Amino acid sequence: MKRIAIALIVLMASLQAFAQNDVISSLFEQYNDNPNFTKVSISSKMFELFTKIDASDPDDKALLDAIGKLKGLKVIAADSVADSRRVYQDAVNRIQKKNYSELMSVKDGKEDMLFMIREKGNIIEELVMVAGGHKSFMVLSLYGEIDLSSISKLSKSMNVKGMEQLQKLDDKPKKK
Amino acid sequence: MKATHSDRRSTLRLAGPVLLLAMLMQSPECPAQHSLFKALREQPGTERAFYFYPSTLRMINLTKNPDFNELISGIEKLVIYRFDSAQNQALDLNLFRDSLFGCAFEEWMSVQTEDMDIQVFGLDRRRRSPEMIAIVRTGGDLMMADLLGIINPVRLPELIRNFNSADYLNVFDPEAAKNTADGKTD
Repeated sequence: MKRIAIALIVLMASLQAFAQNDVISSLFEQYNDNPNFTKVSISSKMFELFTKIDASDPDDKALLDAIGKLKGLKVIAADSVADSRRVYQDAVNRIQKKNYSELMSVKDGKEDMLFMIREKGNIIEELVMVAGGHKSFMVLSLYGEIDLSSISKLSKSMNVKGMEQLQKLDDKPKKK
Repeated sequence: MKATHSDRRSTLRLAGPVLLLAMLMQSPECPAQHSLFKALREQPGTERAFYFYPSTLRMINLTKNPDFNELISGIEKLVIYRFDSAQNQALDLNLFRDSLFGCAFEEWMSVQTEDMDIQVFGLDRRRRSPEMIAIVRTGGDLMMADLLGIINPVRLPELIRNFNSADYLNVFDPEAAKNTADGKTD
């Protein structure tokens, strides 16, 4: 009886984790079979590997520590999407209906970008970036244990177009 | 409610096979994996196999870029296999992937674009260096890499931003490599 109870708790916990980011998963599934989309997926094992690296530079060590706490990265992107503005707005609407808070938005006429986070207590569990341009569209989901102060360093290391906007977070006044 | 004597005996009976299965899954040696690459090397049509060690990887770095040396500092051995188009079509990649999973490798990364497909499988062993096997398809070409060790990602974005192919010896193109060694450029 005790084993069944433990198994049920584990199963429910895993379902709960799945439910929290099901809108992102559904977005990836929607475009997964479309050959025009670039798909990138990196698992926690890859990130954990970097915790084995010895770094003498304190900045490098801090970056590797931040990377080591990540649980995964998923990106889906296309350079030529029919009706990309509508696709972008649809993705934003779907994500905004769920438990995500806006972190930053950028509109420069050519491309719109929206950064959202999902928090649990003081920990950011997921960072989502949605970008839509004249013909382009991208959704990026970075999840794990993300420290707001390390987001700027992480965005620099990701080398993903658009993520450099997060470096502006360093310029924002910190909340008291 | 206390476990009865028969409950404990049942648990012990189950523990044996479970422990055996766990030991097999954690086996440090996986003969199947080594024989996979041995079979690949022996296949007619394996165009070339390139072996790199820390010293040879540093030799590729013609400008002695310290960022590149830092990138490769954790690599103990890197073997790259290139396959010609005939063997490319004959190779059963699904079977190869299943064999990797059978040797406790897991998929760590995948990248799919319109004309490229990369899958990276990894094995993190507790007291030994991790190992990664990459399968790279670009157009009709197939390449596999077997890396023992770790790539340091800290300098990678900088390297990508400033990448200049002329700074590195192109070992995959002997003619270009020779021209580089002779000081000739395009």
